[in-house]
Amino acid sequence: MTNLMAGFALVFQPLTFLLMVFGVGVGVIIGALPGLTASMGIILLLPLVYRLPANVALVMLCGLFCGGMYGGSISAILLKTPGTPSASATLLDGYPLCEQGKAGKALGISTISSFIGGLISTVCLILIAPQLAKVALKFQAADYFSLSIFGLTIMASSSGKKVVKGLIAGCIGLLASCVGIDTIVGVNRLTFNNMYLAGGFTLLPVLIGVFAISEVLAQVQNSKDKSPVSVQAVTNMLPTWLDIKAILPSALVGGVLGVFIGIIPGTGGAIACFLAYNIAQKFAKDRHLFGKGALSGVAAPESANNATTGGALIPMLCLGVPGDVVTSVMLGALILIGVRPGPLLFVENVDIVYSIFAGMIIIQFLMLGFGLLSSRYAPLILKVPYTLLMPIIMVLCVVGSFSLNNALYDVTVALGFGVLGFFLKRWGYPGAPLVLGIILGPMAEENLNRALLVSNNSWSVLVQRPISLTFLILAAISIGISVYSARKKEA
Amino acid sequence: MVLSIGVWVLTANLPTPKRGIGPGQYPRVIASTLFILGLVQFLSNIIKGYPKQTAAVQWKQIGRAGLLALMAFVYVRLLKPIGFPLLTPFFLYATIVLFGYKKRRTAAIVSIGATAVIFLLFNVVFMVFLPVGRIF
Repeated sequence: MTNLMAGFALVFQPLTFLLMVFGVGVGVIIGALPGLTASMGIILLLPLVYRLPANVALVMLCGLFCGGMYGGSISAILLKTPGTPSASATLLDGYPLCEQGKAGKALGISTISSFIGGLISTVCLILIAPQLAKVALKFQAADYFSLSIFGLTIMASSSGKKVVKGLIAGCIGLLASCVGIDTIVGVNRLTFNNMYLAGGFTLLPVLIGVFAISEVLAQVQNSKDKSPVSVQAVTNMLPTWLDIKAILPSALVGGVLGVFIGIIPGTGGAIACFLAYNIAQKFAKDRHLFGKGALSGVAAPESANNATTGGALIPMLCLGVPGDVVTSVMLGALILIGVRPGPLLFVENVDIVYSIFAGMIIIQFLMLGFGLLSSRYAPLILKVPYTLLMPIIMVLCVVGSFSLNNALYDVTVALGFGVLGFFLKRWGYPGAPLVLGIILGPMAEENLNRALLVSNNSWSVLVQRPISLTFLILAAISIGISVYSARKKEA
Repeated sequence: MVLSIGVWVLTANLPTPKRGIGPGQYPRVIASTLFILGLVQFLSNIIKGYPKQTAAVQWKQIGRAGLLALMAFVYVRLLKPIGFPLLTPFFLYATIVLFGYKKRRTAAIVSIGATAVIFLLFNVVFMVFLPVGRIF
């Protein structure tokens, strides 16, 4: 409790609070714009992030994560185009409500449900994360190696029917992490005697390349000047007490479901929103209106996708394994600012952990206020043409990667990984396992080496320790399930 | 598969310690896994009848992306001699046109405005001194 109070003291400091508001605001705008994602938003903020104290930066990123998740619903309701995949189910009833002239009410319900889901997930985060971290403190080298493998396979498995391609991308990432001076013996490895490559690939340019530049390159392929979108004016946003009472059960169920979906690495908001929608469709009082403009049809998916935020932070903070693409980018951002997520974070950086907890609570209230006050201006945001936005993002990517070391070499690396990411995406290879491979590669190598040193080069140490064996079995199961469901879909 | 063979060759001469995993052994373990996965993907493509069933490659689309990547590489190369404030408006304008935006005047205003805002933001707020070129 004392730690949590200290966390609140930090988040109420003027700079932290201001940056938290900024994070939520940027997140909502980015989430609302189709084509821009929360991960891209985090990447664009990275030059600012590593100039801030770790806890302040993290709270801002959490604000962006939650804001981005909520923002996706704005374009889903007003344009029938989800701003993020997590808002895909929201449009099923949000847009019909908009067509009936109830866009304000739909946005109001979406905001309140996102608040409920976010609050449930924050409470679960505060209760579950420290307990999981206590268990994780018992991990040894072999367990950490198997955990890295589990993290990679789970991220590859989340690539749907492209599980082999996901694993290939992960292996390419692991190989990329080998480039540079080897940390164990100190020899040059895969550097082609290039002095720049001796330092290996820095994470920031890689993140910018794979997640932002590749996206801009992908967007330019089919771009054309479109006439400005016409969006209905938003009025009367505050739902009545009766409306809130009607959607509350769906929002609560969606919230609890979202947390547990979020905890499972490799899942995320897109799965949670459809599951919550399906459950609400069966049990909600207004189920006969589903598909035609049911308020519960907006509440359930919005609560669920926002609840995945706290859920996804649990494995990332406790184990260093991200729950989805956004948390994998956040993991990269954490490493950049010198914080290594994992159980030791709860021992060595208690202040950081509890400022995240306190920040997540305040963020939900900020999101509620921001949503209710600013959504009437949402039609203006949605009118910004992406043909102007994408080139500016490209320049921000160049400047962002330059800002790391004031070196154009980093920009070249970002562009190189951008081109690689573009072709991988075009050929159906996901980018997230590639980046995760680069992040987890050094941890995997170091711990494998340590495990083999202790066991006198016996690889059986990986299956002799129960925790390590459990992770390896879970990794095998995750691949097995993905392959099975892919075959089932094909058949 | 080609990448994994390349890694095997490039790490062949790296030292192998008596205990623990050596600097060459670790990438070779990954390369072997990559080789097997590549083989699985290759065989799966053959069974599914690829590349016959895939859609024809849309060269025009790839060309646009390739042109943007090339423009970005040239832009980065010229940043040091010409400088961010002078070069960026031209790069932005060209990119906006490539994206298909039709209002040329607005494009020019946005290019100059965005360059000024980014330059000031990074130089003054973030204290990241962007290249100003040899002219200044």
